[in-house]
Amino acid sequence: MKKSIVVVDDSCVGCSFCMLICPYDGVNVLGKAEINDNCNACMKCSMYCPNSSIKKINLDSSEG
Amino acid sequence: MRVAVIGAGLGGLLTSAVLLQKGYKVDVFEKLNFYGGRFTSFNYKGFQISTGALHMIPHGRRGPLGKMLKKIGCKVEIVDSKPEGEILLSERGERIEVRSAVFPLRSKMKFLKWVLAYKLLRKDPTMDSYEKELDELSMGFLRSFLGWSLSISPSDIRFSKLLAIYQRVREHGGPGIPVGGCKKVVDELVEVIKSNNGNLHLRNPVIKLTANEGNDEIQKIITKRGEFEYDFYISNIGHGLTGRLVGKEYCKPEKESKGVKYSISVDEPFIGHTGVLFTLGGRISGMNEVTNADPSLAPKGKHLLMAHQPLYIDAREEIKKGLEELKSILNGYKYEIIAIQSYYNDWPVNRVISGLDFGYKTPYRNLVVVGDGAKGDDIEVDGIALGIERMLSEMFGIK
Repeated sequence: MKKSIVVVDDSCVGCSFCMLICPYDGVNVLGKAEINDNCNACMKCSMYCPNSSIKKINLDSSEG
Repeated sequence: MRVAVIGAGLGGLLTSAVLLQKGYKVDVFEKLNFYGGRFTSFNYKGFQISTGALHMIPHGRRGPLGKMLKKIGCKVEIVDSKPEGEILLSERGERIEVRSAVFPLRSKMKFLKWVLAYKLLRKDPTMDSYEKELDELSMGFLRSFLGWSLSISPSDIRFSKLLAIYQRVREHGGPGIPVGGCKKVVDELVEVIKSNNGNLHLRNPVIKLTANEGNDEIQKIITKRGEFEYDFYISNIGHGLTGRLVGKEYCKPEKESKGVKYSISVDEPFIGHTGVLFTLGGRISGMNEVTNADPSLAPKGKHLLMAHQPLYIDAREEIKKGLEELKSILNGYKYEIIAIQSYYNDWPVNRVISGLDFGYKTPYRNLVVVGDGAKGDDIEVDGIALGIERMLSEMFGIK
């Protein structure tokens, strides 16, 4: 099971920088970015996102 | 004198390069992992996909940016577009070159009438009230030109501003394509910055600008990696976002222009020259094919065609319609959409619609705005260069 998921919030404008720099082909963009199953949660995209729209949410198992 | 520059977009980099050459000490703070902002490109599958601009400089090598780059000593070759522009007349692919002679005399007389009405009577309406007086071709071209170059519709611009743009085009000529694309321009500027001991800090966002008690001078910059004091602060992020950094909305909210850019791979040239192809009557306003000036912007055997569509409402629905339109424009051509990029809000086509700029000044005597948010009387990156020229002359005495 995945330990974390990557989400895109409403501030995304769809500039596609995440798609262009993703090493895993893990993003599709049509008006807004959508993370696909290829995503490796490396978060390289977040360093290129002008609106800081991409975040990683840890699904840590510590709470059960 | 020590200067802090907020944002490593084209405006921030140009200003930094000039100031460093004049002996100022400059630190540039950029929140992202790359420099160039909306004027660079990423290599994607062998295509140089631009971050914003269409690998084009509105007035080519003779315009304000071309001249400024030359003065700084940047080794950028700019290929002036030839022809400057064509108009796509029909789905059958008929085209005509954009020249005064192709527009009906009646519409040219109307234009002269508006010039007189403005000069003599100061009559200066938005262009939507004037465009109805034009013939179909002239009106279609007006709409495409505004959509392509400013990502706006006729209701967004007053006649006097359109006249100023027309005069600039007459003065400096039409567009040009930098060899190596936008990235080559910013790479050269960063070379100048580094060779003059400027500091470029990537991934170091500015969190706050702190003013003095009298609230008329900036004292300190707070970034993710520390607090620093400078003599002068130059913001490359527009007035709205600068206001957020000082914690004071010191001007009216800016009205940005929105748009979508399609990067398209074609096997055979679709446009076949280095100019703009204006498309009439639909959502897409124009296209260029930069690989006709610089084949290295696409993989071998491919061409990079870019189309621009102004946006007024919901991006996703408009993009779907834009894609349909491209299908009909490119009918008979083998093509593949490489990237679709939309721009609005804090990452727009233009931070302020042309002609609505507030200028470079802020309420703080040692804080100015450069770049897309404070352009001079010209469009796109040439407007950026003019705005900087004015600021450097008035604030630093640099001619």
